[in-house]
Amino acid sequence: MTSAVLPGRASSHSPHVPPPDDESEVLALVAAGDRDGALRRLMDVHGEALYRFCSQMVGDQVPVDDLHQTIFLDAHRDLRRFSGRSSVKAWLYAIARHRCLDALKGRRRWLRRFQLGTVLPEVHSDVASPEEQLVARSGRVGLERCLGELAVQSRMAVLLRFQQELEYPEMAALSGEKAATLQMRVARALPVLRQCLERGGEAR
Amino acid sequence: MSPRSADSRCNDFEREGLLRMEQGLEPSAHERGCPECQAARTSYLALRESVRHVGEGGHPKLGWQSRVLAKTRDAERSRRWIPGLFAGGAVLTLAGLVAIGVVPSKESAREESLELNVLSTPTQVRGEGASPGSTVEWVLRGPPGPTRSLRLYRDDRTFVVACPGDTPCSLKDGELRLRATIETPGTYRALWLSSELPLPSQGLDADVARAKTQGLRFGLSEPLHVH
Repeated sequence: MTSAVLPGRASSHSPHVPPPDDESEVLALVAAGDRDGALRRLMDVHGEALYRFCSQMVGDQVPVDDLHQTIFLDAHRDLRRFSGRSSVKAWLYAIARHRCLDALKGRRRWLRRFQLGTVLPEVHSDVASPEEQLVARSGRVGLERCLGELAVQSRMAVLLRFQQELEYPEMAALSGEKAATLQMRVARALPVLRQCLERGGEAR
Repeated sequence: MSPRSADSRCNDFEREGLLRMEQGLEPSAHERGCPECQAARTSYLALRESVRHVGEGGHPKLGWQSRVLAKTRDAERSRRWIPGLFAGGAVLTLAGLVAIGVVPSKESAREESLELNVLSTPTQVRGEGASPGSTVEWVLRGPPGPTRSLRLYRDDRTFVVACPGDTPCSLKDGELRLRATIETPGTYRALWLSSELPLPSQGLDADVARAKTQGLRFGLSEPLHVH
């Protein structure tokens, strides 16, 4: 058999446009036993936002793509047990919360076991590239770095509240903590974040 | 009332005003009369808004939905197997008989397998993968009977070629073979489907989703990086 040269046929499909969040549709699909359909809907609606959440939660300590996919695999497995006591979004973020915490714990265990000393700080070049300078000027890198400096539970609360725009009762339901505790945690984390940004995003 | 520094007034806001803000309460009487506290509130509102946009440049890799759907299928297949494995002796006995050739392995015969071979590369490639001009083949094996097709995508979105039907395909002894020289850099991934009806391609994600909806058997190859 001879091989053919592939011309690179150009018929790419258009990128996904996320449909509006419609929890009732997910619930209807689950009720009808169509877990695959419900999963597709969840991925369309929440896939990108959940990826951003996971990226900020674990930073570069854990492969985010694997973690992100695992969350949806867990969701697919557990959809048949979803009782509807919370919103679908809160339920999904509860899975994400557990997965992120597990991943960070696993990473810490690995570091304890295989690294003799303390973790060496990342070496940053004194001279930033033009792109890095541009991004740094926008403040995004500083903010991401400062979020990474927060304690895990504080970072999670800040991200769930502001990045993912969950309400405190939803956050309380998914984390098993009181709303007042979470409000206090966020109120204490914000000044830490501000002080870190004032230092230029550098750790204390 | 003794005069206080702007810092102490700001600290007042951080001690009380922030919590009131998170509790959804109106500003206190003190805050309403304190320009520094109001400035601090504005600054914190801006910080909250910044957090809302953090990480906006990050996206999951193309084709991630297909990979999740494919993994759900694999996971379900594994779950179906686990009780069987724990059922004990019968399975072990059967496995032993299969091993010595007394009973033909229907399971292994029922499974499709998709193999990827890089046959030649014009230049040395570091690590795994191939370079433009490499000749590559995907071979789909499986039991006789079902109609199978093979589709090749670049970067998980561009449909490149389908077998059977296009030039680089052959079907012999139940093996569907796609052999081609690849000129365009990118990540190539093949999807096989078992379907009696032709399915026009709409892209990897859409094709996998449709295969799942229609209850078709399907699988994905490992990615081939051409660089």
